[in-house]
Amino acid sequence: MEDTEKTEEIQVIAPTDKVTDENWEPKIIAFLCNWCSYAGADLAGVSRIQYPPNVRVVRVPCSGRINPLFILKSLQVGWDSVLVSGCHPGDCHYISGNYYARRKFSVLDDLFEFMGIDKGRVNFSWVSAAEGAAFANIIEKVTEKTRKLGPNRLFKEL
Amino acid sequence: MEQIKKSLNEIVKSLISEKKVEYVFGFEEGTLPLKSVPLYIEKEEDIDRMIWNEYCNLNLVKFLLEEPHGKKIGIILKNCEIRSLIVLINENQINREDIVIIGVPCSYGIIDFNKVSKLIGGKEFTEFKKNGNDYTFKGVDFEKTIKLQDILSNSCVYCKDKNPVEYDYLVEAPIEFKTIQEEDIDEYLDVIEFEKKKPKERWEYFKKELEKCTLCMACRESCPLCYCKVCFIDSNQPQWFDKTEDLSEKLLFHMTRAIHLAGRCIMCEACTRACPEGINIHLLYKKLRKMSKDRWNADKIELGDPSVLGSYKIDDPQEFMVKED
Repeated sequence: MEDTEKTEEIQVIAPTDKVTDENWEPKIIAFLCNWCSYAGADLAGVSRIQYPPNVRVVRVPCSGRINPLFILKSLQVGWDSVLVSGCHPGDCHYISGNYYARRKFSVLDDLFEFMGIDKGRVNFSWVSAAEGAAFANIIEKVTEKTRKLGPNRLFKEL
Repeated sequence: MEQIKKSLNEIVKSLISEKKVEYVFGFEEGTLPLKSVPLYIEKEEDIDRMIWNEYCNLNLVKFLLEEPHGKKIGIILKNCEIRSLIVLINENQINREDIVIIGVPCSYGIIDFNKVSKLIGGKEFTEFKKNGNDYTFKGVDFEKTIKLQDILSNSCVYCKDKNPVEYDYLVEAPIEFKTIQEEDIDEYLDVIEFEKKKPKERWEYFKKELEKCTLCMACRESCPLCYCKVCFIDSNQPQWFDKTEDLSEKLLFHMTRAIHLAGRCIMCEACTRACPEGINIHLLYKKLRKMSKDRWNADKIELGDPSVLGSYKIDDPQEFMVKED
């Protein structure tokens, strides 16, 4: 095969616990950029800011690294919602990665809107390394939103 | 049509006899009625087999992708196909210097074979006759006359861009198209109409339509802009798809393909015409084209333009972002 050399070690793994409607808790997968949002999440932890434990973090080098397919695949395998977060516009470590990311996200956002899929399951935000409190706040918001939407059966009940 | 044919013949003949190109891509009559097949015109005697009409509905640009660089090739194209060639040149897949474009103003548009077969009830026809804008299809036990408007590809119904934008040779032709299309309709009318439906209806529509998909990849294979050596659906490292018959896989495939075509789609509708299940999959791509127009004012693709997802503006709209309180 031609593509064996450039192996991409990416796997989106489904949440493993047995879930019933009674004990259901939202499970959120968060793709955080290494330089801002991941550091922001770290700051939230170091500053001992409380936020819901429903989020699982995947660290990516830059928000521009996030392929919309990651997000779609996450929803397909059963994550209740997806959060993508990167540096504020203008602050990207790689200068322009988040600008490209923004274009990709708006495509995904409009596609969801057009297909009639609830957009609450896909969330995009900018969090800088200094915004620990903002990170906690966004996680709270997204968790609350997901709780209202209920378990993700978007692709499951097909 | 006669005028186009004559003018085409002259241009192709001069290109071949003066050895300006190695060969010219054109069309010849297929073995079934109303079907055309691609033709390599290498010698002058091949020119007699060449046809040009409303059922030359394949995109020849797709064949250019398989040709090695540095070979001078002539190609006969309509404007929608020229647009697709422009995208490929912009994305460095094809060298502009290698290609001699013979632009033909699109006078009729092209026929959607799926529409024909729907109107004649899926029966097989063995003969067809053309009388002005009336097409008579004859089969074993039926005969039906259909107007050209009813079997014209949707892309041609909405098309407003009929004169070649980039060419080396231009074929002189009168525009007869306007007589077929009476009203001036919005280019994105079907998308706008669809957006008026409720979200649930739209989701149900896509689920119902894509249920029919067999993942035969005809849409991908017919698309002039799909040229990846290994498509994400075929890739096994990482393996995104389990290759099952599951509807979620089909939805995922078509959504991702739509994202890959976002702002690049040139609205030729080859995908919908190629679909053996008659799914109007083009609607998704057209929507994203409309989106790139609304959001970034980038809906006409010209030579040298950067791709929509490969460029950015600092003040792109970002109203969809989650903000902290």
